[in-house]
Amino acid sequence: MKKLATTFRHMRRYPYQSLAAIFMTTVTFFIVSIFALVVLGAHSMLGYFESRPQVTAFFKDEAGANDVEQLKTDIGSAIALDSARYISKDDALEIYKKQNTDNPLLLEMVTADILPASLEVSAKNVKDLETIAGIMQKNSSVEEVVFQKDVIDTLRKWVGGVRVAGIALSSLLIFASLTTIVVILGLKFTAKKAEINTLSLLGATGWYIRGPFVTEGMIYSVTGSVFGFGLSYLTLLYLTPNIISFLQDITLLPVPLWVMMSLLGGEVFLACMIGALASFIATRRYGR
Amino acid sequence: MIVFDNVTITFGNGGHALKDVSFAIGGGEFVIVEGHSGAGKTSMMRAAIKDLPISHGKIVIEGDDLSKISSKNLPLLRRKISVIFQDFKILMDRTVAENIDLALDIIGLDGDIVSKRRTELLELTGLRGKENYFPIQLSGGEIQRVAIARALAPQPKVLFADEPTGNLDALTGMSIIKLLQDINEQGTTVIMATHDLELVKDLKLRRLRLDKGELVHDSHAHHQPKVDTAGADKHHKGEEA
Repeated sequence: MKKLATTFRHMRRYPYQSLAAIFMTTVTFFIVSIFALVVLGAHSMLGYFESRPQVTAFFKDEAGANDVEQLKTDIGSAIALDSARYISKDDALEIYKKQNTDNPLLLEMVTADILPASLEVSAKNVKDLETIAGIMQKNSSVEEVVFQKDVIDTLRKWVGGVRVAGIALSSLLIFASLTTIVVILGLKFTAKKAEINTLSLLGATGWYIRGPFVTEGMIYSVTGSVFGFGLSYLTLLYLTPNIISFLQDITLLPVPLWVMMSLLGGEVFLACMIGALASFIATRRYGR
Repeated sequence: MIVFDNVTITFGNGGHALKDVSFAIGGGEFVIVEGHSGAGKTSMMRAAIKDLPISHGKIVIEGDDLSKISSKNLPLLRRKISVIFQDFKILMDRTVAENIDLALDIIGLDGDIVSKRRTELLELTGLRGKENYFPIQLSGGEIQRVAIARALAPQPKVLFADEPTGNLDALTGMSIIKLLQDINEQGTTVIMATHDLELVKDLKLRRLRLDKGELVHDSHAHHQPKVDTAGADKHHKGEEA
């Protein structure tokens, strides 16, 4: 308790330096949390798409029921079908209405005639999607084929890019936080050089002298990590309605509590490492 | 027992702080180290707590050869040998009580033991009632007493006092010497460095005189304890075993 009191006395004596260190680590862990949540969300989206191996064929206006049946038969004879669902123009209009209940202006302008009928085909094996798409594209009554492999590939590329950008930016910010804490603790250590020398002459051990500085570094980084995480969580809660509306069928939110707690735990652990390393470097570097 | 065996401290420019200084001080002695400014008194004390490296020779304190004490074990040595510094080294942002408590905290005492020991030290040094004063509110003599109280906190076997009367008037200086004598009577070996020969001239105590880093006079040289630095080696080997 006495060492903690010494730590808080150090912090109170130079409040702006303490605030600067906490601010820097807060920004760092806010960005780390945001990237972690985006990557986790993108992985869930990938999982969603990969669990639904689906190809959709949109028919030309003149296509009839026979064309649809013929296409089903062609596909069924080529691969093992999981399901095949025909969506007529009227069904498409119903779906469109459901999706846009909040926007009456969009509903007024649309009739069943301008929406295409479609056939959604799911395969038991994701590898069969390309075969299905090939059969659909060869069919003269089909106008367009939407193949989810393209969506998954694009999403995967984005996730990879976001992950690399996140790791790079987070690493940079973690380094900046580490350096900030090293400099701030180093300045404090240097300012107390005379006192530290006296403690040493009185028989204080190295840990007795360095302990409060190590604790101080860890308090900065752990406080910053909790604040950064809290801010990112508030941002997530604020954006939740928009995200749900954007993703529609894909249910990413709310993020399970265990995921958030694991993220917080990981960040606090990382913060402890940063604080301990920074104070170790500072007391070594400036304690000479 | 404190043994200096041919101790030399050489500076980078070739000058000497101490040159072939040898003496032995037995447990419970009160010794005055005399000499003008620059004679090597402070260097001798700093060397004794391993705050200044020696170039040659050997220092043995209470059976420990200083050259064999690792930096890890140095704090333990410094709790056995306390120093009252010429510049006090009192923490100005802490009260009298906090300055004393600091030394007690360093040796790992806490709770009621700290307050009991602090009260004893305040009583001994005549600072009772001033425990909540900051050093800036005290006179020079009182600050010196705080330094003495803090130095005595770990109950050291040896107390070095570097010019403890240096900045004080004669009357206050004598009261500090009287206090050091009281401490010595309780069994602590006291070594007091001073350049004020007038102040200590009537004291019937052993005197070591340093001049330009050399020991030029030892008043008890003929009956000083036998220098046995080999014993320190045996002591260390025993510890290591």
